[in-house]
Amino acid sequence: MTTLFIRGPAITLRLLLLVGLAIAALIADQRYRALEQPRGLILTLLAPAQAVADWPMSQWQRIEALVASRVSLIERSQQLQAINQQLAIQQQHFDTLVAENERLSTLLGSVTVSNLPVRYRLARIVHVALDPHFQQVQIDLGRAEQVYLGQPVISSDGVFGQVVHLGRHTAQVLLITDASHALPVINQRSGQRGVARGDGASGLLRLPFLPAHADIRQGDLLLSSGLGERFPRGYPVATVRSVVVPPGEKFAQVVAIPVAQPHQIQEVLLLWPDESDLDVAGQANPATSTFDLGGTGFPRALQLP
Amino acid sequence: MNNNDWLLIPGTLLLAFFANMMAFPDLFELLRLDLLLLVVLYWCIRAPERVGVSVAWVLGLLTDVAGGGLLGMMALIYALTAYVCLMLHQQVRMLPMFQQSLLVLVLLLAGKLLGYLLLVFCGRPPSATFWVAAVIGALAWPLLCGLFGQWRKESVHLL
Repeated sequence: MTTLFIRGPAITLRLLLLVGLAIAALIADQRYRALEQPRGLILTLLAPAQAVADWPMSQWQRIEALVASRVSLIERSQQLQAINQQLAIQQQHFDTLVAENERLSTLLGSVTVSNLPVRYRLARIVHVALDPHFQQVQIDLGRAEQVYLGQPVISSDGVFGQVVHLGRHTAQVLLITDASHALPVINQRSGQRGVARGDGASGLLRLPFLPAHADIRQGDLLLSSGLGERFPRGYPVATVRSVVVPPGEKFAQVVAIPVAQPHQIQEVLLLWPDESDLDVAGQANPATSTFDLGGTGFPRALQLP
Repeated sequence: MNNNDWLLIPGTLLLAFFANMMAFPDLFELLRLDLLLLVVLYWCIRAPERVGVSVAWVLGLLTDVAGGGLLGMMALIYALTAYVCLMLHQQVRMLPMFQQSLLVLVLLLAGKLLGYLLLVFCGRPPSATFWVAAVIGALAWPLLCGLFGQWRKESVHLL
């Protein structure tokens, strides 16, 4: 069966229809985040294919681990033991501090606000090719494991990102360095608050709208402040790399390096924050607008206290 | 229409889809060409009664979801480039391989331009290496035609 002439007008009509659909999808998805359901459905359907695509790289890593020499393994194990001992000692300190903090709070008659999430779960980063214009990773847990949209994701170093697309057993996590991401932070040293916005491909964060006289210096550690009601407070986010105040400008140009470096990470932690804690944070500062996940409406109108 | 096309078409599309989805070390990321788009265009030229704008659009949409990118961007690019190939398929078949590659280069670059505009509009301007993949895709076109032609047992005139 050879068709010499494929039907031109019918194809043109179909093309116009499909182009219209694609444009509608672009607007509905980018502007209104209205297509998370179908996205999740397709992501679920694609999961087996992605598992196959992930196989070579994950096997490669396994082989790398297998052929690691005995000496290096012994070294590694000693390192880990040393770290473990340090952590155990820190934990003792921590327990004492928690007890003391509670005692002092009771003496003062104030409410204790603990910021420890109730539940953690480890997720593996899946090796699939993702759109390089977004800073994101895919993980191997999904809706079936009670993962939810907007869920905070951290690494052992600090805040990593949040869940943006959700399949049944897969989820895509947007990193805090993505151009559409913003995260309320607080300077550990001075208590100065700000918003850390992702800078895209550079892998850095920028803190816009900080006045020129803001108390922030190179080397300061920025923690999540919990004001966005999405990330629990007190997790390390970034260290300040440079603070520049151009002459005549009202705002400082602050650049920070995130503590969680995505290239070195193979596993991340999903957090289920304590609901009651988030409530307390919300009541503490009623002026804070709640973040919505909308791509364009994301952090633009955040009011800084 | 070859006898083994019913197997080759879905088989090669699936293979290319997998190849696109696989992660490579960052070193090779620059060389990553859109193999799926090349295969779609090949079949639009060689078997336009089987693979057309609808197939291209669906594959583009799947690519969008799998990559977590702008939903509809790849669907748009795939459908439009496939349409041009469909409309020109008889002329393209007659062209020498070098000119075919040039046409593919122009199509890939046009697709990249559309993607560039959409990305800039969404506040994510791509880096300068964004365009490299189109050139590599055009360079890979003769290889792809030679390989697929062999599978389809048809004579291909290189150059």
